[in-house]
Amino acid sequence: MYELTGVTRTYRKGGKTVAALAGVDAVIADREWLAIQGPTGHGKTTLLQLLGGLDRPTSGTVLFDGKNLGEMTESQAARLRATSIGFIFQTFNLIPTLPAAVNVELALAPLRLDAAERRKRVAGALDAVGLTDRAGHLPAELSGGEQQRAGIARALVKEPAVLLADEPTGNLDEDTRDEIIGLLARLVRDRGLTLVMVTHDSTVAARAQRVGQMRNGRLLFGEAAAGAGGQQP
Amino acid sequence: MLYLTYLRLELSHRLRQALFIAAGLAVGVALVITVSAVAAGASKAQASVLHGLYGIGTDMTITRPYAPGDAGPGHEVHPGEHLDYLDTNQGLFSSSAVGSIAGLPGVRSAAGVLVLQQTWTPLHGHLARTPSNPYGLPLSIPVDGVDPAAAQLGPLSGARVSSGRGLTTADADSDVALVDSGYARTHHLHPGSVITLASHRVRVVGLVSQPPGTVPDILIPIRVAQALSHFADEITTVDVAVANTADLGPVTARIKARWPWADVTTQATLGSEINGSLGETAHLAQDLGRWLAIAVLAAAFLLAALLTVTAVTRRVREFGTLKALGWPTSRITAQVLSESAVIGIAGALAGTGLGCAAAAVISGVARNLTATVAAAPGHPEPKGFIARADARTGQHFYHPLAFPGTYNSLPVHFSAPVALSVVALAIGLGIAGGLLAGALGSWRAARLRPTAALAHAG
Repeated sequence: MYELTGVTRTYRKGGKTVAALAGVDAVIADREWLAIQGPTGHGKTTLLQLLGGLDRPTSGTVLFDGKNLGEMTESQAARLRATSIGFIFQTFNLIPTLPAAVNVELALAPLRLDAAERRKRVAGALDAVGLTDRAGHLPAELSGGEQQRAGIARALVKEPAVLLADEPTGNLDEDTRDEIIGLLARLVRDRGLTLVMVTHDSTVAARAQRVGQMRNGRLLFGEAAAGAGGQQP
Repeated sequence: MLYLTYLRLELSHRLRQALFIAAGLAVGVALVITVSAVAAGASKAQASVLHGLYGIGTDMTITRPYAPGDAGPGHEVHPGEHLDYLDTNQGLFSSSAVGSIAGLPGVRSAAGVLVLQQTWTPLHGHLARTPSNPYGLPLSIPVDGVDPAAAQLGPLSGARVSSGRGLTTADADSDVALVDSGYARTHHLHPGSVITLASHRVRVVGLVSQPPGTVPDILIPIRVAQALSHFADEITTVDVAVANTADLGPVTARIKARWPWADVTTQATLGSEINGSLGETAHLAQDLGRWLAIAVLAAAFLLAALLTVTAVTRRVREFGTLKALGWPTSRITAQVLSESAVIGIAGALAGTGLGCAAAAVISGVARNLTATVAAAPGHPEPKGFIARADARTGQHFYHPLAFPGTYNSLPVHFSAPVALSVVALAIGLGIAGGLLAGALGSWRAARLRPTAALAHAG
């Protein structure tokens, strides 16, 4: 699915150059569930944004199914995100003025499907996350778990190839966290999705097939990861 | 439709702010409509006054200022009934000037007028004192000698026949007259009546209604007027119509070059001399009103833009999320523009209703204004009285150097018409205000980097 080679990302901040990523090499296979752990500020979210085509590397290449994300135009990257990549956010990022069903439907807008097809897919996505009965409620009327379910439905409704989740359980209590992770695990398995998840939570990371550790802008696996304080894959 | 659902729900959520922006635009739009309506009404009222003074279709008048030593009986006062030219501010000149002026480049047509007054002066003492003439002063009524072949110019152009008939070219040498309908009513005249001018019998062939401010009570063919007043081949005024408005300046220059003594008056010159409440209304609408409308509209635009940009800034996470979902920038900016356009349309429509209502109220409240006119072509400002004594009889004559109606306040019906073009302009301005705000907001949204927008979420 993904092939990263020598990926760096630097920013100018207050006159200084900050290296968010300092050379990442990794291969993420199809249908793999990869968890990425690491302290705050070591580049986890930056890596996720590069994988989603939301940003471009300063150097190196990020290949998605053979396509170089760094060489895509803004509209090409948007098209890729619209069809193939689903995002799940820590803070859910639902549009507060729209009911859950419309929030989910927003993800289908760029695909220019007819209304009937959109309604069918939205119903299917909400059903998959168990939110059919709450489809007409505004985000403020939903619990944290329900809001994240809506976020997952929004990510799934476009039938993507990969899900990118940035701390999907970060704002949830333990029980809800387990519920959401269980749901994600089932959906990923049933639909054959690739899931790249950033998480601080080792319990959550343990459910993944492989765990990488971000340290100072580098993604470490295996012994290197263990030495850095991470889990064994 | 998803697009409309998003639009509707978003505006519903921000209803208070949307209404605030729309209200600001509505006030600006309403002011534009109201001020335009008042200005149009004032112009229309001024034009009706000018038509009465000037004649419909007349672009300029040429007169000759009176100079000491000028020949003519202008200052003589004779007992009895006579038709006189009596004007200390104007002189007489040859009627050959009419043909010469008509032949100038840029002139469409020209016609001569001889402005006279019919005076009754007692041989001894005073006239009988009456409520309308408490001092028994010599009576006079204004009489204009006009060219029947030039009905589209000067006094004849504004005269609408209300009874009988008008003057025709066949009447050029006939002892016939048109009488102002108001004067006719007071003096019990009708078509067929006979009046005397300079002790000469003249038959009334028609009664005419004239625009407010029109001076002559009686109109007779100019050749008859010249004969009765003994001013053969002389006139006091030439009324001119130019081929195009752009010819006004060049024609004026040609006339002054050929006749250096000529006093050329145009509508613009007279328009600036209209005072009274009509003049005040016109000045208010055209000066203060116009700038006020511009200032309020500019403030509404600015407010709309600021509030829209602020709203977009608050929705940074929302737009970042949409970009993450794969929405192209163009779709996001279209969303912002649409929201602002709807607000602009709402403001424009509300402002149109408000402006039309305000114009209707003004039309009802300010129905009658007054126009105070200081001068009219051929009928200058009053300069006082001439007093002479007849050495033989010891009789004293007081003769006013003014014609009745040359300096007075004229009632003018005022209305504030709302033109469709102004409504269209105002609606366009309201929508433009909304779109301008939307454009600024869209620009702000388009510049958002998804990563920065999502990081903004915190």
